[in-house]
Amino acid sequence: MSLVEHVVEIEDVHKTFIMGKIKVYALQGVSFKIKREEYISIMGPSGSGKSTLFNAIGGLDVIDSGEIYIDQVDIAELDATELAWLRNRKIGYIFQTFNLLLAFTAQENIEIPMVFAGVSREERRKRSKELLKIVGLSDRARNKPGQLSGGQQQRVAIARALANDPAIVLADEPTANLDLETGLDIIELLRNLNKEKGTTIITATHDLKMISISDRIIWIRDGLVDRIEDRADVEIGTVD
Amino acid sequence: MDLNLPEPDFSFFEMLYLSFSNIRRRFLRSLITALGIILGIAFMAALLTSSLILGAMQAESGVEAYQFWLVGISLVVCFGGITNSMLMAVNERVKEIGVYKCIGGLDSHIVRLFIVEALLLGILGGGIGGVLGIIFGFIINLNRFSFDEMSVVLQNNSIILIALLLLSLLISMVLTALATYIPARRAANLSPAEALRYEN
Repeated sequence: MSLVEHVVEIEDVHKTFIMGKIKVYALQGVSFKIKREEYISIMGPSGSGKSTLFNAIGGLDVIDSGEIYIDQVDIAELDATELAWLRNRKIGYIFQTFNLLLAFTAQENIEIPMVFAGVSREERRKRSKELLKIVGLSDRARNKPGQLSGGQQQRVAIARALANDPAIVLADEPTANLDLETGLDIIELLRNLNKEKGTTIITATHDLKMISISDRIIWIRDGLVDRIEDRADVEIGTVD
Repeated sequence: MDLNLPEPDFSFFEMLYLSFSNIRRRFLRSLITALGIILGIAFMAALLTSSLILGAMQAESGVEAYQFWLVGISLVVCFGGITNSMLMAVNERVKEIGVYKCIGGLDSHIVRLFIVEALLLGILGGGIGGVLGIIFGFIINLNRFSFDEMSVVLQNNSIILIALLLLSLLISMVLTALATYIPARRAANLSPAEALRYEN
């Protein structure tokens, strides 16, 4: 396989929602490319189209027009099974509201994506334990989400996102429901994963704490890319 | 990216385990759903048992027309009750379906997961409902006939009673599966983002 430089490529993506009689132009021609192993923050005020963009990149929602390539595969061309495969192994998702399955323990939540991937039981046990260790929750394996704090639930969600060793982790406002300190812990965890495992991380956020650790920041405004900044530029910018 | 797609190996026991965990977590809700099924089936089984007893006791006059009506109504109540319980149960879990989709569940996996869960409830509800129905059908006729008389009738018709139990199970399973399949299929067809956004 040739060396692929861009893990995500977005070309002129449009998405419109129809709310009753009003048309909401959520994305109006967004284009950018993301390199492998980058840590990207997509920033913008609420209503700017961040979440819509997050859903589009992750193949969680259909777009009206434009192209989205994940590892050079046009996801519009994938059928339902291939899309499920993509969500299962290529991309890990982290949500603002954690979205864990409440019927299952922390360890089981991490194992379910592996069940869908057809991983054997022993292998699942082993990997879920390793992942729990990475996120620092080894002693909480048997707790259900209801018995965990918000920060702990988000850690389980991160471990679940990593279950099938995805190339990309997409995080939609991962710190928005957490207090400052817990949010910082989660950001640090994501940063370490990015550094150590080389996972590309894309977060949609308006948490300014993310700026200092992102390689690049994509600012979204009114459904368009406002500007794309390298971290260095931002830091100089704040000194000015 | 090479898309070699191995068909996910998702064994029946894993499915059973996942379904069972869901029922256990939502125990109270599952209990209410199961009660809906039990009531519907018990109502039907009670009236059929009662008809059986009346038919045997009044051999000369035969079964009266109103009894057919009652059985017909009991079937409608049973269908309505079960369908309603199951539709509600799936409808409040669309978000959960969205989560399954996000972590890579195939639509068919998710639908099967819900069907297995519904069938577990259906078997439980149908069985309990059938037995309770027969007992009730017996009790409501106690003021008309003696205990011993009716016992004889039931003993002579034990095959019909077993058939009645099997019918209860069958109706309960078919209805729960069907009333789960349709909304679950529809929810699984949504894009994951739509399913996660779903408010009920």
